[in-house]
Amino acid sequence: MLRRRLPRNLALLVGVSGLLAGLFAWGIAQGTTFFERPFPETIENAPIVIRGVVTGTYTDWSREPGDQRIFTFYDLQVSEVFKGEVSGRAVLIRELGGENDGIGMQVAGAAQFARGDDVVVLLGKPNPDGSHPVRGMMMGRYDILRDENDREYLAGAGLHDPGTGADRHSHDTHGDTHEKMDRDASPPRRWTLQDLRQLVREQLQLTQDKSVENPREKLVVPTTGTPASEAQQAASQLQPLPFESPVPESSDSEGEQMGLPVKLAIALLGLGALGALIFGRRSRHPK
Amino acid sequence: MECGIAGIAGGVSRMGRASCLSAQAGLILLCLGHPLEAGAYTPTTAPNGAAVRWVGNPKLNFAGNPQNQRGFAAEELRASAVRGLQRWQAASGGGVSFDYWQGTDPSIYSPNSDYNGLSSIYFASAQSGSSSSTSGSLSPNVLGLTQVWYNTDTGEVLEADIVLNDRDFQFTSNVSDTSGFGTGKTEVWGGRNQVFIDNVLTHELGHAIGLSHAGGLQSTMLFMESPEQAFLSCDDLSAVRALYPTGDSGARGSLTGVVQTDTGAPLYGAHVLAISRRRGTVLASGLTDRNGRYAMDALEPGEYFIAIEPFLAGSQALPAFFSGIDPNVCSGKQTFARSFLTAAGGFKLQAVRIEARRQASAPAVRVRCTTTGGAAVVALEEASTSGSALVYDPAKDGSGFGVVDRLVAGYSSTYRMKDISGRLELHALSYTLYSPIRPLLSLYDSFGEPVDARIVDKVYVGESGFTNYDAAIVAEQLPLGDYYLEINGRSLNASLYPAGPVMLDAVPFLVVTGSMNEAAPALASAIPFNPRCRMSEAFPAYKSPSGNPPRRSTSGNDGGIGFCGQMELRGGGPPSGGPGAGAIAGWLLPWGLMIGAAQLMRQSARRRGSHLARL
Repeated sequence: MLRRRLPRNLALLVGVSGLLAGLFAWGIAQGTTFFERPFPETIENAPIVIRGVVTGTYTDWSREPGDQRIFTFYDLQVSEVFKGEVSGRAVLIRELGGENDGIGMQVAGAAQFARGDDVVVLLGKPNPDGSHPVRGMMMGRYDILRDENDREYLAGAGLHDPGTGADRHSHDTHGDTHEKMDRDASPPRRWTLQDLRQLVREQLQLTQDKSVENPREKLVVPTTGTPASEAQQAASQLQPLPFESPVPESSDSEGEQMGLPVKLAIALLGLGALGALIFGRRSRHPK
Repeated sequence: MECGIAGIAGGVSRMGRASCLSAQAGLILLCLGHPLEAGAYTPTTAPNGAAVRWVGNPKLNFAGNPQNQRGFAAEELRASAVRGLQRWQAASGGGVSFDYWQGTDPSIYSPNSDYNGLSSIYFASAQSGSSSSTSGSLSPNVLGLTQVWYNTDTGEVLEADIVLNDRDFQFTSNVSDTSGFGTGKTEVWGGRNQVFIDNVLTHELGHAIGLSHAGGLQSTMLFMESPEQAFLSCDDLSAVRALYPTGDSGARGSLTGVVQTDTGAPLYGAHVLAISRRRGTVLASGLTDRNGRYAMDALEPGEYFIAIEPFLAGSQALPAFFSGIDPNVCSGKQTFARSFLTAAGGFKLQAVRIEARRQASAPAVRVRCTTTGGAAVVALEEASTSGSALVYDPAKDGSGFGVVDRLVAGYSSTYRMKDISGRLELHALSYTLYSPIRPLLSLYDSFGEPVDARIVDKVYVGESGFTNYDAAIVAEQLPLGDYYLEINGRSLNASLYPAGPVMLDAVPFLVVTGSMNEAAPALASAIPFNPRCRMSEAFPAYKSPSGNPPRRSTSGNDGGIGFCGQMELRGGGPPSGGPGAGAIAGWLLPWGLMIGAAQLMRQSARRRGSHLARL
């Protein structure tokens, strides 16, 4: 009896697990305790880096099944792609937090935008709903300012460049560690947009050089789970792109908007339930 | 009714009308309360200005799920979570209590941040697969995150979910492990940094109780992970008492004031530090609102000096309510300089006295703009005992004083204190104020002879290796006479400062506070008398209640939240979003029909079998 019931339970388990796996595939996590990495490393880790103007915003509950979180969505009119690829001139980006249906959700350190903001943003791969997540929350958003020579430069929380740490362990004349007599408190480096373009070019070139040197070696971007192939994908053009395709229109077929994980989960659930019935029936009606 | 149920249109009430009305009546009272109350911290604030916090003196229920793919032990998560909760509980003086459950059943201990009635703590690596939202937004810049759910009308916190980024960081139970600045050992490029889990979890729990990011160097709520962050500091202790007043609230006072630009306009988003003269440390901090006003509650009675600085973390580190903070208010869009409330002469700090149950109003501070960078400080010129600057005269200064001065590395400054007798306690603050210099103190009598005194050249050294390089000197039973404080300055590396170079001043300066024959601070029992206000952590053993963690209703029928409708997860955005309920139903329907048919067939067969048996 026990032996015959196991397959039924197992099938149910597979079904439920499949559903959970599918739903959790859209899981959660962002952060409010920050770690200040060097700006070049932050850029290196970002799959997509673009510049654009915020043209609209709204908040909404996630439309992804099983995801009960609130997001603020921003429409961005893209003027330049520094790195990676986006599917059109108008890009939808989203960040955790907002208010909807009488419920508010806040995450300290979430990137904030206002209509009309001209910004450089670091983005992740598209979400199932077509929007791009802002990568690194406030560390992924940069204002564009102009210096005294009318050059555009970046300003943002991710630009407090800590440097390379080369002189951290020097000893002063009194013998104490961690102290240094001559260190000045010079301001962080100012990154112009041209510097950013150059940085992406150099990082791409470095990646390509490594590929040539070690063609069979898999490229790994330090400290991130992002595959190098996506993180290192520099923009094919660094100037405003002649976008060919607009942002994907919404489909009339809702089913087409469902991601593979959900379809798979539902299928597994159904198969599991059917299996349970079949095995269960056999157990009660042995031949 | 707008309050509480606004925006839940389309939901189906599960409450009877009578109970709904009853709940609404209670809710109206909530709606009338909770204006924004600034106070010795940066509060989490709703866009409408309501302070986001739990109602009354809350008991927080957290459910931890220790599953992870990094080998972090379940018991270590439990110990860290309980310690973090105990810290806030102890700091609140009982104003906040908690219970904590832990388990691995995902149906009970949800490893996600959904609005589901359960306040969760979990690891990012527990989530199967590579979620788009996780890998997209959770970057190597982010160690942990707290989603705080609240009622948009009242600001009442409904739930708080914490996720720890063990994908990019290796959490440990070693107090000296840190990813951030403050030890001089930070390795910032690449690698998966090891981080003491308490640094992150205690900070995130601070968000859960209603605190946003702070700028104070020693604060647990500092926006950057840093050593010693696990241990609550003076600012955190004041903050939790201001948010959740308890029995000793009658023994505390409050402070308000206004900060202006150099042209006299209200200065929005200035970071205000209240430096306790007696303690010689920053006891609390806050931000100015759009009218340039600040307020600090739950302050210990005593004299305070006021320092103003840009909130250099930027408004992005704060709730959207504080959006648009711009410290570049000086001509040429230059950032205003660190400025102080000073008396005549520009270097003597003007004290503001706080009394219990009273609200003190500080004189307006007009920040200064310097062309050379650094703090707006008037340098005292004298540098020898023969020509030292007089900083204390009992006839004018009473029981203490405060001055602010420039200090050049490699040089010394000397200050004269007139007619001193008995006990003298001096504090030199520079490190705490993000000044890139370390003061070394010496005390001389009027003959130029060194005075026998207890000199502390590092006022705090923690288990993590974090060191506070402020200095202090205490001399007892001094015979009446004039005394001279000599301070030598030595530069400090930016990597020794929590938050790193971003907050560091360009030009070294220091604040000297003095107390003559004064007793211990008024609230030394509640706010430990040390430069960090570090509490004892001899917490009692904690045992979780039996059973599963209670799950609060998100539909309002438990009366706890006060909603009279069922939250409907509906899409309000463009149609390009994810699948709707119809889509899911469409996919489930065929399977449901097949399962139903099979079930009917089985029941039919069973009935036939039993009928035959009876025959």
